[in-house]
Amino acid sequence: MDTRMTAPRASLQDARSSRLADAYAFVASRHWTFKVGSALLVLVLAMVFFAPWLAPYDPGALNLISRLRPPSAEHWLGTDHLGRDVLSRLLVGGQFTVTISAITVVISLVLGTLIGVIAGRAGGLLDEVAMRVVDLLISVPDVVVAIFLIGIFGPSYFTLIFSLTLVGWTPYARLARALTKEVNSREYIRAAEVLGMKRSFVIFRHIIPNTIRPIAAVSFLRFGHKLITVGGLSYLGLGVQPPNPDWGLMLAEAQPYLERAPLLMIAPGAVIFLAALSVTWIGHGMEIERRGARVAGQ
Amino acid sequence: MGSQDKMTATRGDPLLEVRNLRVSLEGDKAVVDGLDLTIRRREVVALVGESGSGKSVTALALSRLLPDALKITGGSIRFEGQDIVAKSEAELNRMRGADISMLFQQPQVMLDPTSRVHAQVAEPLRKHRGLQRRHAFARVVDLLRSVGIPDPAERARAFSHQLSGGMAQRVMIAAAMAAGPKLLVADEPTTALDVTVQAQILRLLKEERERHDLSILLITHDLSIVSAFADRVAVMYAGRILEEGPTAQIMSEPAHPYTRALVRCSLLMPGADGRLLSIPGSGSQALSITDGCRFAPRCALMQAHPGLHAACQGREPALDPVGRNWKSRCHADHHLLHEGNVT
Amino acid sequence: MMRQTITAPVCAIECPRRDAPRYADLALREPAFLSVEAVAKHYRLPGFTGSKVVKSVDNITLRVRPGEVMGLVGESGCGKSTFARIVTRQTDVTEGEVLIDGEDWLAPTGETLRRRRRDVQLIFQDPYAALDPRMTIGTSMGAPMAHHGIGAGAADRRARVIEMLHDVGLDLSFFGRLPKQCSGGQLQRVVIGRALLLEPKLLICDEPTSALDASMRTQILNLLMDLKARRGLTMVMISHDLRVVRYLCDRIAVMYLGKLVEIADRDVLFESPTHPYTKALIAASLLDQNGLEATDAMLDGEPPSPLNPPAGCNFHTRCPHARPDCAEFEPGLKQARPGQFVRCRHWEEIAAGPFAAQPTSEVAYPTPR
Repeated sequence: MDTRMTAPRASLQDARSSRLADAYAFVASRHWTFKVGSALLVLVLAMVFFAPWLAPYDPGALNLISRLRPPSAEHWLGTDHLGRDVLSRLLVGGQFTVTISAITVVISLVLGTLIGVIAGRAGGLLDEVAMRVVDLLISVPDVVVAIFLIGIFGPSYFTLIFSLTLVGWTPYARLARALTKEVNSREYIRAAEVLGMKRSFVIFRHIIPNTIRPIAAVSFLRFGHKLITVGGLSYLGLGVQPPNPDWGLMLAEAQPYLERAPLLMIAPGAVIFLAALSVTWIGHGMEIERRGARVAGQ
Repeated sequence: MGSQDKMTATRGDPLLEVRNLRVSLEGDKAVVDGLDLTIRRREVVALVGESGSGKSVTALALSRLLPDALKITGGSIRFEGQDIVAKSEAELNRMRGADISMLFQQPQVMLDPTSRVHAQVAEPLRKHRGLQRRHAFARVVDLLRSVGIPDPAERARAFSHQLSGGMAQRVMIAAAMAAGPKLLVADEPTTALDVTVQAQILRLLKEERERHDLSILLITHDLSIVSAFADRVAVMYAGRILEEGPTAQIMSEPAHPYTRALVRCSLLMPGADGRLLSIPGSGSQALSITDGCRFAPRCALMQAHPGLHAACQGREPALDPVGRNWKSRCHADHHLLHEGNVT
Repeated sequence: MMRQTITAPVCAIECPRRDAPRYADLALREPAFLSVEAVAKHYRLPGFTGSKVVKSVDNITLRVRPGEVMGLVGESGCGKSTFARIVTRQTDVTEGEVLIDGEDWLAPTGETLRRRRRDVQLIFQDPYAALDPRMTIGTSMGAPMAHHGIGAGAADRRARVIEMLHDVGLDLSFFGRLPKQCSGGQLQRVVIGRALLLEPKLLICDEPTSALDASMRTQILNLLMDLKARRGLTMVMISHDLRVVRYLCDRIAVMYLGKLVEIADRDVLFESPTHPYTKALIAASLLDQNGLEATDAMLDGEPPSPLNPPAGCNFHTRCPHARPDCAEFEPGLKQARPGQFVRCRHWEEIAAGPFAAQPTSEVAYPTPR
């Protein structure tokens, strides 16, 4: 039954600008958490990216005279137990956490999605085997794997990323496979088969674009999770090593001084929290239904 | 029995009178725009139209079951003389099932798959007639038998999801008729069914009409069942009625160009050149036309008679009588339509 | 009950149907283009009490001549959609052969199959579902050509798409549109155009107009009729709507529960339908001409479940003329008249008997010279 109102679009250009307009409408109509989350994330990313220029002091500059100072005009967030400017350490420290988390998420996403899509398309034995592997690995917490491997090979960025992606790809694979199965059953995939389209085209031009949105939403949520994980590993001393600044590491270093200078712990904790919250809200906001029911006018 | 005889035999008092009904989507756009309709006792009135014409919305409005986004923003609906637009939800609940019942397109969707058939059919009986469970069951079996379900006692105990399409629709009819309504609003009741099952269901509705003095408002896009079953037809387009009258008249010599085109399209009747008639353009923009006739952009009659342009595009025609119990919303004289130079 | 007779003028001389191929019987004088030989498709369903077999398509033999439009009608569960899936190689067969232009169509696999698919194309019921909602019309129509090496480059393919848009009656602006910006009728033309760009030899139409409004339906049927006349396409038109099939088809095959119960030339089928199911189908589809009381249209009960087909003649449980032996012996498809085959043991007695009224299907369709 056809109830669509046709507003003629005269050219390919208009179809593109209509997609831009759709994208804007998408953002504008989302839940407020999405908007706030996006704004926060942009702030965090800007902070991290521009850190070298924004930081007022060298994060490694020791100044044993002015140790554990409270916030003042010279040091907006005070200084830590070695006299280093907290604000500068916070800004620069973000770089490691955020970058490592981002790399981990991207690798897991690409790997997991490819495996999931191929398994979903192929079906049969390949699908069964892949999914049983996923079932097995998905129950292993990535933190445990990281602790294990870093314990053997020593802390390095490579080991960190490797251990986190080792099991980190599994949720993407599961989701991608489920989505692929669903898209696969759609009529235009049947049509593509009957038309004799090449398989690679079907996967890359039909299936993946139609599964991207849910996967993107999940990846934001996972990113938040990864931030906390990396922060936690650094806190345990398995991530970024001193004297390099890192949020998690700052948490660990601040612990003995909790009573005397609580800000040392609150600052990095708050930033981790806000960063993780912002991406979680974005992911969450991508999934909330658009406000206002769409009524099929009959 | 000729259709004329049928007309006088079933003419009764008006049961439902709709005047100038307006239903709007989220406050501004009217999907039903000034609808007038009268249904008398024992009358079967068909409301036909294509998708987007507003016919299903009308059905929902009449039984006051509109979704939240759609609201009645004007006009009146009088059932047995009482205005039901103003009634409260509690009063309407008492009316539904007992006075007005509805029948929908997808019976399996309306039936709760996890409950048994007799519970669903008994519901109106227990609500409106206050029957106790045991008596209700016996009555349900009777009802199921009367709608032609074989082994009714066994079927009554079955679960709803075990029913086939035709069976489910029969159960729905039983449930709809259980409390003895006077008006049945059937929204595309056979569209989802196989054509041979459709014929059975329509025959059943016809029997129910005869047995219980029932009036039926049949909403459909299928003109062949209208022709076989309805006493009167109202043709809807862009939220308005364009023509209304006795079925025989409208199907054979309609007054409105849209009706004529719709009949020929629906029944797939080829024209002189062996090709099928099609209505040019698309009806999707029709709702936004405020000056003039909404069908004018697609009207073949207007194309063929330039003298009508000014009137058709300037002023919206009123639903005027063109014969006995027959009205059409068109500026042109309907005899022009059959002159032969209009495709 | 007054019968409404709606007369239509007899087709004038310039009718495109005039030279539709006529022929006498299954032993065709010309070789068949599409030859479906004793094809069966069984589905095995696991069950608690042992697995059950659903014979979705049961021993169907159908031959379609080149340039002919063959109609396949039946209600839900009759197997016509499975038939479409078999012929378009979306599913395999349990038994039987399918030949296209003399060659074994079931043999190719893999890349060979992919390349040969251009010969057999499919028009779907829901045009919105048949197109990727994120792709523009131009891309959807042009991409398949690239995969089959049609056209001498991107520019040539683009030109072909534009020409095809014109051929199916759409203007240039549709090239850049997205499916949601088009109406159902317009999209169905796109689907047809997309299929035709591959220059198929055989076009299977699976309920192409069921999801469309009355006015769009006629547009699409006119388009298909034009295609038939201009391109001589061989088509199989699958529908539950006898009106559609009456307009477009040369020959019609009626299916019930996986079997063919009647095959006849179009005019013969509508003037003298022989199988009781065919009669019921005609009467029920043309209610405006037969009314609700037509006795031959009255079928008892519901269509049986494909899991439990009746023994003997699979229609006997609903047949108004059923005799005792109908439950025991399965009838074969036998010739009843020139151009007509029926699967009924008693068709002669029924035709001659007192309740042999034929359903009305009046419209004077052009008779080919």
